Amino acid sequence: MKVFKSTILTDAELIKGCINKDAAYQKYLFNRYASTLLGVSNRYARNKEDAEDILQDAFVKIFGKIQQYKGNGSFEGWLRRVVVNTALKKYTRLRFDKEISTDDFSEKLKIDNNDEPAYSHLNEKDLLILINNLPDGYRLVFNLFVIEGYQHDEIATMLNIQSGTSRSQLVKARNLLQKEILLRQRVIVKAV
Amino acid sequence: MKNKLFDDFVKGEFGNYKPEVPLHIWENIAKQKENKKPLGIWFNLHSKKIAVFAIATIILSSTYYAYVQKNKYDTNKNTKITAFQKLQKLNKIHLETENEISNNTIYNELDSAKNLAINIQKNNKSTNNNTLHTTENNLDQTIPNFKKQKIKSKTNITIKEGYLDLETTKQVTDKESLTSTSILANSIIGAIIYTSPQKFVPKLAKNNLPNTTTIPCPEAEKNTAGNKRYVEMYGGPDYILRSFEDTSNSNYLKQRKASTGIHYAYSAGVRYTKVFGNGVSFKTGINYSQINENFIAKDGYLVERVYVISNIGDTIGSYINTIAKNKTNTNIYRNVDVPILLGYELGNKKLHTNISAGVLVNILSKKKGNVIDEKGNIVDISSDKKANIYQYKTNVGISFMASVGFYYKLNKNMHFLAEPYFRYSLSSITKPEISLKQKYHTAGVRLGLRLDF
Repeated sequence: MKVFKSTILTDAELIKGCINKDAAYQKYLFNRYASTLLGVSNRYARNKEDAEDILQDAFVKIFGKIQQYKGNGSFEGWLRRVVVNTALKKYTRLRFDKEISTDDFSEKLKIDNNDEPAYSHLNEKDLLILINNLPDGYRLVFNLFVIEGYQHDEIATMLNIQSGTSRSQLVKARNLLQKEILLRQRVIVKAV
Repeated sequence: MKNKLFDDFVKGEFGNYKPEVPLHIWENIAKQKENKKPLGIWFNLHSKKIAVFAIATIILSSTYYAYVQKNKYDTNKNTKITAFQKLQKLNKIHLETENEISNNTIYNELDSAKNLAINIQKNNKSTNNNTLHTTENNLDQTIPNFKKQKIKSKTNITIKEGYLDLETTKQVTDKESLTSTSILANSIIGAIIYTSPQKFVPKLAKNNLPNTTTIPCPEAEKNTAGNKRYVEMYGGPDYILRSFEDTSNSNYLKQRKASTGIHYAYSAGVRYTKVFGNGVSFKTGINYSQINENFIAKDGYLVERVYVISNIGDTIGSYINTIAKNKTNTNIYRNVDVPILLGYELGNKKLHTNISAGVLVNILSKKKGNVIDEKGNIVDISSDKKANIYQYKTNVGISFMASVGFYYKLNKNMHFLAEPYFRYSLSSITKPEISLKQKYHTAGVRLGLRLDF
């Protein structure tokens, strides 16, 4: 009969158990990281259902390829990368290109530069809704640059696009987000 | 709105963002993992122990089979090998190849044989008993005569004191009389067989070798297990070995163990058994097994207020007595499986033994009763009740089984069967959503009847 020696397993123990395809360790790993990784997939997905699909696919990949983690960098970082890559695959380049060519963001938004930012009242749920509503291409670039901290060159390689495209997508994503934030604020003011 | 400020704000908001994970995601992942298992592998080889056990069983079975076969071979080797047997073997070899040879080739080979026989005669001038009587002339007559003859013969070849001894007995099946030439022809064939069987006999055998009668198999051998079909009906008590594992909650594991105990178990079934000529057996059929388990768990409390009454009837006080209320019932686990067993059978007229190993493929698994959940509440696990994660799987997959069957012959068509066996469950009967893994391994003795048909 197998009982874990301690209630808190280290990542190394977890990885070893998962390499041996031990379902108990896999479940333990899931319980430990699923929430964090769902947070990541939520930002990349269009909606909740997509986010869950991404998380599910990512975990299947993680369990199948966990032996490829060689201990370089944090384990959580590796897991996040798997989730990000799964999300990127889901939203294909074809769709990405289409959105770039069809969306017109020539309109430059003029946003007041007040002392108190317009977005200060937003919480993570509000922000998530706004990010989810971004076109796929914008959302991916925005997430990769702002949250994950990738540089435009890296993003360009990951998405198989030009780095200039990545820059422009980021600018457009920011503008769109800020516009949406302002619109929401106006609605709130009217309501009051 | 400054970009940097905005970016930092967004990043900060998501820094500790950990949404609640819906339960069904793990269920889906577990299902996806199940689906990814290769279909050809019946064993769940995740466990090294199982893999080692399976491999060891296969090796042991193979070794035993090889040992039995070697003993048979050694016995045969020690007996006098007759030319007839050689011919028969070589005939078989030849028939497997579809090469046709012309009559000219036969004649050439017979010529070679003739020369060989002459040489043998020259070298061994003294002839013992019924050995070769060869001259140039009668050898020449042999060849045409040989073609006409239809002879059943039995030729023994031995070497006695350095001489080639060809002992030929024959039975003429057509109207032609037995001639010395035909004897000689057979002797030549014998010489060919003895001296160069690989080169000559396969080709000769197809065309004009004498028809020969097979030596009947001894009755005792014939009546052993070989090449027969049986229907077996059995039933018997089982001893259950429970296996519990819980990777995350040892308290729950303890509670589950404490709340249940094996009451009794049994299995019964019908199966078809085919025993091939070489003793290898194949068994399949339907096996029903049932495990009855006692369940007892706290089901709330009974609160009693006890009034204390004095001798004269006055109530002088009261107190509250709390009694734990237990729920008891019998949990019933039923399984219907299809056994697929390979084995080896040997025996004599009265007693057979069959060693088998294989798998039991579950086709239905039904449960009835209660268990406690992680909070200690009683949950109904009956398969026909509303679904919950504590219910067991409706199909428990593959089990490994090994058995040794003993068969005592009661009459011409019936054997008494006694079969100790062991069944090892490869997968847990609990759903993957809960961390507790529960397995039931079974050991038992089956008693029944085997019908020969």
